[in-house]
Amino acid sequence: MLLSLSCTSCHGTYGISPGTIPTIYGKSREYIIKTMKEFRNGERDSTVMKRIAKGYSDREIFLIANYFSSLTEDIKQM
Amino acid sequence: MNKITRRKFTKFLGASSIVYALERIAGYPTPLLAAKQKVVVIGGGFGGATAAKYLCMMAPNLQVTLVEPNKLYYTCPFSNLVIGGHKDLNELAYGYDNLHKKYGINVIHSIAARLDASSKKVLLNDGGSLPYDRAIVSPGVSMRFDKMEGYNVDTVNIMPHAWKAGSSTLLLKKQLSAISDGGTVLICPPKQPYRCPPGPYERAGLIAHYLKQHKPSSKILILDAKEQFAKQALFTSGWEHLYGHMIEWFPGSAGGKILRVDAGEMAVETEFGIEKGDVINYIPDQWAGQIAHESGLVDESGWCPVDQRTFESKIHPGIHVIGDAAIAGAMPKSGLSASSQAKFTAAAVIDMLNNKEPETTTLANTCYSFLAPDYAISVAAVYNLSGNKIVKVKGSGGVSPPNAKHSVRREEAKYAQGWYDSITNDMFG
Repeated sequence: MLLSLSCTSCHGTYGISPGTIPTIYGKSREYIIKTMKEFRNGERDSTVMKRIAKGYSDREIFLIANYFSSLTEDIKQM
Repeated sequence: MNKITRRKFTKFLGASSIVYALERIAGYPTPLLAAKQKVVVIGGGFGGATAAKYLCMMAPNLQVTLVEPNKLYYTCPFSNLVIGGHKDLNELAYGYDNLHKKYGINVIHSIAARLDASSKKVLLNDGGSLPYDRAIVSPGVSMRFDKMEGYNVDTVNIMPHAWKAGSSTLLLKKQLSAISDGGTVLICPPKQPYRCPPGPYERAGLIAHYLKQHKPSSKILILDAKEQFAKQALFTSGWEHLYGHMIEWFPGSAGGKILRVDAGEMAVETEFGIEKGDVINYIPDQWAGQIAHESGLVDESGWCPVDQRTFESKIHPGIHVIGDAAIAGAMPKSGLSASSQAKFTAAAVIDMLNNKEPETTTLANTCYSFLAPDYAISVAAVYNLSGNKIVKVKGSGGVSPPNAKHSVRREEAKYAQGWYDSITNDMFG
């Protein structure tokens, strides 16, 4: 959980982005894990995420994916 | 925030979920929760506003008070775009209504004189005092007027530093619009450490963008105390590409080091002689914000030593210092560093109030710099703890690629705006 709070500074509170940075709220665990690993190994192009993804272990990526994929609808009501 | 959403949020938290679980066992208010614990946050910027909001999100039972003198906060990030004429200062202004109304934070617009660690009270200038169980101080930087001959509090009205967004930003912009074509702008960046390491160089590019359009024979000289600077290769190649030779940078050893400023003559003296400017943006050396000094939270460096595992002061337990004022290992003094530290420290404070061992985590920083409104570069890094020190995670981070196409810089400019929208919403939304 704590780990995921660094993500939200750029991706928005709960991963809900108000601007041009993609929303990660509610994305599936599989999608987040796959995307982060692709950023990390260079398979997926990006501006900044390939540099950030290299700072996270498999376990940390799993925990981050778990957090954003398990947020539920009512958080959006805030 | 309604109760359900708070619950959902706290569900994912170690400490608070336990607090919440205790609270939910009907009829068993724990002694801990019977009296509301008090956290006072000093300073309503990237560190303080974020910390106050996340304290309330994570632990709705806390009584959180935020002390901030100003009713409107102007962000330093993007203030160089105001100087360059691409943003209005009002677009960078934020109030504290949401923090009060949505999150129940007690916002006090007053000046905190100092914290008294022995009585655990924040003493306000108006004579009032606020007791706390733990405090988070995010005072930013203050300018040093004791380091440079000829530079004092009055100089800032003639040579605005514009290093805190607000009237100083507008004064610098006004001065730039008043110079004639062929004029000289001096930018004098400070010694390390200071707020926003790439800031002076972003500013040079955005001023050049303005001058190129309106006063193309003008020059920008950067007289630097340092020998190198953040994202240097990207800045220098970008400047040349965009502005030819309009911007010249002089390191300390090549005439950049300033010995004296003379506001009356609109000049600075370097080891290589007198340099005159039509506009002089002298950015003074910095140290921790005033209240950190008044409260005895600084060491001989003028910055605040903290236990980097919790951001608790090494001098006064019970007080956590975050953001620019803190000595935070490898993390730079940036808005996103402060935001990242704020959330982490909020969690640590909650754990410590519950007599729990605080979790360790990973922190991050991403900073964008504009060279032109549609041309931006970035630096990013991920940090974790090695022993008691915050270090950069090996292999993580770095700067934008050199020799990238303009389309890549344009894309980063788009994401820079997204970064700004997200982080300000995360603070004040």
